[in-house]
Amino acid sequence: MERKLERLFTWFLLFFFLVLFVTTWQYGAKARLAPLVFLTPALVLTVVCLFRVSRIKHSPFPVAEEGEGDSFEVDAPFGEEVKMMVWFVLFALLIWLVGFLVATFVFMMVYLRLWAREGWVLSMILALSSTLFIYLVVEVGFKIILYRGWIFS
Amino acid sequence: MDVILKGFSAVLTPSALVLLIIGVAFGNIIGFLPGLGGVFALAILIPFVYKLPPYEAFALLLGTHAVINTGGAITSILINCPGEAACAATCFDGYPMARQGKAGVALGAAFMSSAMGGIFAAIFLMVMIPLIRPIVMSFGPPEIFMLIMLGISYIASLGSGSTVKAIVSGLMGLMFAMVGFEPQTGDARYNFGTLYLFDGIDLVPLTVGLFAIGEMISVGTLRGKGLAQKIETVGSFSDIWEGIVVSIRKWWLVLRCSAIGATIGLIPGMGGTVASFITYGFARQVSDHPETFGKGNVEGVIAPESANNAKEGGNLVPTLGFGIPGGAGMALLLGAFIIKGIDPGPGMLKENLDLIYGLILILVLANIIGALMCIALSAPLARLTLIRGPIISVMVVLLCFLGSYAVRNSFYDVIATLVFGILGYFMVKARFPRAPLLVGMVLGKAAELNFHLAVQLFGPLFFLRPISFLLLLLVILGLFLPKLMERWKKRVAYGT
Repeated sequence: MERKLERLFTWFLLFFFLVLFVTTWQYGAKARLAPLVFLTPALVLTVVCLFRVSRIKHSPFPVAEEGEGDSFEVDAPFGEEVKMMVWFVLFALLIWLVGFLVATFVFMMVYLRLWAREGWVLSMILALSSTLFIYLVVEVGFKIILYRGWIFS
Repeated sequence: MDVILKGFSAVLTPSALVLLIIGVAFGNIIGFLPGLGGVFALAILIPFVYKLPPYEAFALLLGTHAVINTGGAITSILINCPGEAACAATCFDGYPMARQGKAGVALGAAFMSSAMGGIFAAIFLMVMIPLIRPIVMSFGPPEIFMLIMLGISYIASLGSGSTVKAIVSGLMGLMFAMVGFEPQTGDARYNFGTLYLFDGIDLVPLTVGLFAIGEMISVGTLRGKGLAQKIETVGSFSDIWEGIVVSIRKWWLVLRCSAIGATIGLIPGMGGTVASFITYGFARQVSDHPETFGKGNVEGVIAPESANNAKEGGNLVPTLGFGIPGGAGMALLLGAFIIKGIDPGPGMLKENLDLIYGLILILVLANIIGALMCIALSAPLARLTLIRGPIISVMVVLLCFLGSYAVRNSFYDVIATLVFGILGYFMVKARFPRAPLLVGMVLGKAAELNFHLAVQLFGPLFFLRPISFLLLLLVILGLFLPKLMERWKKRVAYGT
């Protein structure tokens, strides 16, 4: 799975750099000089990465692995992590819809009950205290007007 | 002398001291929570920098960063799980000591040697700043541009993963920095018709997303489980005191390991992990009882703990002196300087020398307060590791979204945080390091400006000027030498 992800991500990077490369040519000579200096090696090296990744895929013999590099401390199954990502996207969506205060309370209740499988009491206490905390500290304390959401604004 | 006094007095104000204590407490907590590191802590705090005056902001940030490894020792010793990668070497002897009922001694020794290492780091920084000042002041745009390339290449090549991927990551960061108005012509670049991208990508959503959200995606999967499952007992205060006394008695070892740590910190990209493992090996070599290492020798705790805190002082030298971050944490600190309108490097050495001395005092105070806090609160703090993953995860994500939103009161920054969080997650999965991206993003604007100035002043062959050429050689050497040495070592090991 990780190799597949690696290959897909490298293809995505190549596409990303290609889009930037094409876009760069629309700018004036001065404005495109530095981006081109950085983009050219970026494109070449991404192709090198792609070549390396596909060599690992097609080689009938074991190919020397690279070091791990960056990694998370918690080694969770990919499916679980995708679900977490979906939860976070839902949280952002809810903030967009109903604003920070309502979204925090609703999301925390649902998330803690359904995903974290915490009890009603703990979920309620955490949801309520978090909502109160952001209202008192951020809105009253720091005087930052929190986003009210698409529905309420 | 006036500059030193000005810097010190600005730190010794009630507001700066309170924020320093808050930062130290936060750093200790993040330090001993496995899975959450120094970069994560700084990423969370960066949004607050906007609202604070410079000294207060850096008291909070540097206070947090300076003590991350001090707190990290608690979990290394009590649960055999390093709170920070740099504390991994502490597990080798710290945990066996805890199993033998000497957890208090190990903790006391770790806290004291961390504090001593941190104070050494501050002295090291104080000595180094006047030494590098004339060198830095002689640099022009070509040298600064090459220096930026050197910083990115060192961070790319010295990581444990693929150098090619790390360079791609750094170049991606440089490209993110190109979004928005071009500084000389005013051309709007890479906004793809969206108003949000006209001003460029803000550093806060990028750092918060890249380093905090990705981590929380993985921590949130620990349903019904805490970051740790079982904790060894800390022991009494007299045990901790015994550890403190042992560290003081072994001052010569602390001093040597701190010196090694601070020197390693001078090289961008060489993290605390390298420093602590090298000094662990060094302590074993110079020990009277090398056979007891790995079985609970207190020297195996003292050596890495003093080195990983001393490394921060070394790391600050290229960050403050040259504007080249020593690592991802320092890149964030550099970003904070830029947010506050301070230009690290020659400009800072000329105009903000008082702030540098202020930072030195912050480093000293943070290490003392951090050690005292850990001594007093290690037992109750260690229990925080039992908090279940999904609870930590949702609280942190809420803070991330709020922090990003608060910078410009824009909901688009929340979306940007999420996008960069998902990008960071996939980067880790695809084994692309995130630190070079951050460094590229932080240094991108300066790189472009100095590149244009260098071309205008000296033509396209500006890199052939003596110092620039030397730096170019160092870039090439930095990129290829570590991998060549690795191959050579493998060949020697296999006898081919």
